[in-house]
Amino acid sequence: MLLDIENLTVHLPGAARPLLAEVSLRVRTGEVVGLVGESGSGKSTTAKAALSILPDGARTVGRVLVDGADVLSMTGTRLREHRAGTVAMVHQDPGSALNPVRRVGDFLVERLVRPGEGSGKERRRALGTAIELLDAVGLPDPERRVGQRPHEMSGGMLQRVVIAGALAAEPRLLLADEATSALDVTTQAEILALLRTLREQRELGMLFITHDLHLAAAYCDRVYVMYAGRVVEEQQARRLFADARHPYTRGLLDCSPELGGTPRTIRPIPGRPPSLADAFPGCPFAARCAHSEPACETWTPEPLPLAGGGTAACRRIGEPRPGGPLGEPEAGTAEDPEQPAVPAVRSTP
Amino acid sequence: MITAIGRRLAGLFATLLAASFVIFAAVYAAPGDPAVFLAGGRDRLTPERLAAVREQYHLDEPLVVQYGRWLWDCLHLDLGRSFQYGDQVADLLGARFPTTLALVAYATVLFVVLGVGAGILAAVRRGGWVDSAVVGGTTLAASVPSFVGGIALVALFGVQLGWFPVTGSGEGFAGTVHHLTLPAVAMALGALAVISRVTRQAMVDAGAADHVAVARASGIPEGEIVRRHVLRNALGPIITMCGLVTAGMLAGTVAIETVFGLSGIGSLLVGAINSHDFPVAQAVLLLMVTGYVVVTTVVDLVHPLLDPRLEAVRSPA
Repeated sequence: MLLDIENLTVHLPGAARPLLAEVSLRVRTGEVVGLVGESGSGKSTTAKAALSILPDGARTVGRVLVDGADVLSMTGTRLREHRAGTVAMVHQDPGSALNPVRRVGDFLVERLVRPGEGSGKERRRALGTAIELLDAVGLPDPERRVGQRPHEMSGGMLQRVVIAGALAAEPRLLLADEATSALDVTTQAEILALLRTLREQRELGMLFITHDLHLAAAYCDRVYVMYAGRVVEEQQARRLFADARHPYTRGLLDCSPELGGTPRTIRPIPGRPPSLADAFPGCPFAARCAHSEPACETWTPEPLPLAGGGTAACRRIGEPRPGGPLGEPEAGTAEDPEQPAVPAVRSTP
Repeated sequence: MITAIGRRLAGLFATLLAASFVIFAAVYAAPGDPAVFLAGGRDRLTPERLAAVREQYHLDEPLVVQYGRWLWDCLHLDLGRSFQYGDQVADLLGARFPTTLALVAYATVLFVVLGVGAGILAAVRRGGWVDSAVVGGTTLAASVPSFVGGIALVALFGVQLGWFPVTGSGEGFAGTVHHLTLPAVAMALGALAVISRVTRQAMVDAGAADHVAVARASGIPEGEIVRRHVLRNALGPIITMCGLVTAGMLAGTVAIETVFGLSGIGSLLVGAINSHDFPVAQAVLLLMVTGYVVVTTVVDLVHPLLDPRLEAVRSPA
């Protein structure tokens, strides 16, 4: 297992609820795993834990293993080497990920040169490698680009540079934190294709963080959905559209319009995303959930296995009933946003 | 880039021209009549002699005519003769200026190395005891006027310990360094607080940038991050502040030169003002203003080299 996060809980002083609550997540070599959620759901925090980057003052319970090595216990040189080698991150905004006053070549060279190897010859060789990397990420005219500064390049070009910088470490795990969110659609498609190619060529495991469930379902092998610091659902990506089980995942799918098929009403999830000041004795989604029962308010969420693989942290998953999964609305009720949809049938006849 | 430099230089000359008029007028308006001094004192004064002296030195002409004459001569590198010594003003300055320049250069090296160094330490160890010690120590040093600090330094290192000479400017490079150490330290002490604090704040600001967190997440060694990302990006305000302090020192060596018995342009200026030696006072003031403007212009021209984005903004394609 390349990345294995085991029941990671992160407490922040002064916050009403944990930043992350019992998050378990796995990425195998060669696998693209999606991590989806709204802002503040803890998806970035989860990814950064793989680099042992946690907020100041955070207290952790649980383990983060990369290639079997416990990341959270690493310090000093060991941690620096871990960040410089095994795991690399592609950040959301390429414009702010590069030092504006230094050349693109410097950005790559400092990731290619090992500490104590700063001689002119080694830097020149590193610059040659940097040009190869820029070529590998599809940046035209790389010899000229290494001498340019970030303000002379477009967002798409910069994201390629940032990806080249991530590859410079020859990582085994790539964390793509909203790596395409700041780009326009055509550039986004190019970068997505590039990441997929690189993953195949270099046998990378990839954790693909996005707020776009549709993108994640289409792009990834497996998808985790997070809400209020918890993983609420884990599914094979190809089953997600048809067979999303957690009410939150279904709510996210209903939030966005779709091409083709029958026109569908866009239904936003009622209420607002929870902040760190909101504490939940039971299921954190209960207050916004159309299917919640009084018992949900006190039920501590735990991942329950689904019939076709994957898990969902909803206490009503296990309820036996015909007529499809939880939340499959009866025809008619779903079209009326005023009237909360109710599960079609509750008990076995 | 070329036009930017041209514009800067044009601004420099305009500033100098304006400053030269203000200097000339101020010295002209100073109380006391130089003709009395030139005529050899009040006791031997006759109206005829006074008139003769006035005519000889063109003191009977209107201010603007005098200014024009002086400016014309200055442009021909003729600063006139000293009323007091009768020497060419240029020769007097030539004899005195190197001492002041060496003193300011030495003090600049000291406050840049120590001030920026202390600021970096405080920024890297922010919130710790090193930070508090730097802020406290430099504040204490800045609250003591430089001439008082100078006297204390003389008392301790000059008289008590005898490590450094207490007066004179020394011969040769080693002698100059030896003689100027105490005065340069006295001048630099006051600058340490502002330089170290500007350095600290600029580095704290630069260190909050996203790309620094990205570099840290990439496992780049902390020393590299501080040097190539934090300090590198904080250089703008640091260099501006160092330039301003140095420029201010060029015009503020009077007290230190007096305390340490150095014959630089500061003591020359004081003497010239006391004896109504117009040409010398004007030339020294003009030199000080020129020094100030040149230093600040150089700092301005260095900025685009530090941050290439500035160049892109200034010269639209």
